[in-house]
Amino acid sequence: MRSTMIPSIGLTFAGAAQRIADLARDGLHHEYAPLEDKMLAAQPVTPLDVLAVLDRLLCPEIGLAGEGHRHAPALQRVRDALDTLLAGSEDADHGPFLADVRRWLKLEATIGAEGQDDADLIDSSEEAFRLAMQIATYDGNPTLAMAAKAILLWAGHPVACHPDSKPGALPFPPPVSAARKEDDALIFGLVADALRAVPELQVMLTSEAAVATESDDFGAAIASLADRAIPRTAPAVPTVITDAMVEAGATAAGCSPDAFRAGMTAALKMMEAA
Amino acid sequence: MSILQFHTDRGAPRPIHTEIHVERLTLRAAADWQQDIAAECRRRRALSADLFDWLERRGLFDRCTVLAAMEAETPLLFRRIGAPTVKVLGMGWSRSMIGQPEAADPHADYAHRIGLEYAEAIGAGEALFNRIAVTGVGRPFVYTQALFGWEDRGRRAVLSAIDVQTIH
Repeated sequence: MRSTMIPSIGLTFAGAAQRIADLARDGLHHEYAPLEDKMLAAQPVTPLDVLAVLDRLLCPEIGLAGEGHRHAPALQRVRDALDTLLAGSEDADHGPFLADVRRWLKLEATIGAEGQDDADLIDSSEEAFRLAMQIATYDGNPTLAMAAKAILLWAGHPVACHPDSKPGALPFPPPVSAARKEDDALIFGLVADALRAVPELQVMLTSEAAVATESDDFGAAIASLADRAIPRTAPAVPTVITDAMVEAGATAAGCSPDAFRAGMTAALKMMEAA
Repeated sequence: MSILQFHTDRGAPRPIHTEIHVERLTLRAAADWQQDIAAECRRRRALSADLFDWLERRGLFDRCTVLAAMEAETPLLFRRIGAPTVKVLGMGWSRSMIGQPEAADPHADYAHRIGLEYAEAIGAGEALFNRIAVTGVGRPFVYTQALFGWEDRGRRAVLSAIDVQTIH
């Protein structure tokens, strides 16, 4: 189940509602007010968006309920009814399942990290294995099930866990065009599909560019050799026949300068073709 | 100009007895320009076309041979053959070896022995320096090689900066 992105603030309705509630609780009026203005001005699309807007209207700190508005109790009942309907829908178990995925990624990132003792390592490994089995056997919504499995496979992919990438951060997959191998192309595409199908998974990846999305210096270096596979200067072939060369050659060979020049030109031609 | 002797009219080729003597030396024993190349490779760490451009600008690239494998577990292929090798083994051999693995080299013993040095340089990620004496491949010759290797997700490359000492 998804909440729509509000481009002007870079947050979803659900994300914005949460953020505003946190700021309001801390009394940070200057920070939540512009966010709330933009969120309430946006058009909700999905049930989660509607729920997020209702939550803002009913905020105990700054919403209608807080001001004792006489319509507030009715609005509260509408909100609760919507919440109940959503909870009963087939998407109800998304939350705990996604939490498992998030927890697994967190464990994978810390396994083997510096400062982790052996007991921690064993605990983390066992929990990660148990979670992976749980995620692998999940038979709820098939789109969610496939997407989550794709993310787990991606986390173990050599491009995703390249030693140069930021530790503990799972990168977005590089574009398919960046793949050098068929298998890589398929997994990059698969992960991109998973993120489109289940946008909630996107927050589990970092926006840090994967190493493979950077220019491929190694490949470019080797490719650049195609034009210089053999030194142009080897073997050294004179390109200009000087008068001094002709004179010395003609004297040594005992022929006319023109005959020597013709002979030298023919010989150089053969050398270039060799 | 090739110094290899080809026997085309004698039926089966005579088995060539190749002797290769590889002596590992410290880089301090290398020529200044070989040390410069090793220092530059070390400074840049990663392989890039910029390194080759740098070598070209300094007129050092002619003395360099490069082999690379673009996938894990595949053999190193000749990507560039430097002038010293062209001079010793000939332009025809050199042209035919571009894009070929070392194993395709008819001088198999020699290729195998030098291949071990390449593998070591790639594994080390550090400059290695060898003095190599060869008999049985063309005329006997002695050369030094400063090697630098790179590994990138299974892809490998090695640069060999060659200084020919003698051709007997």
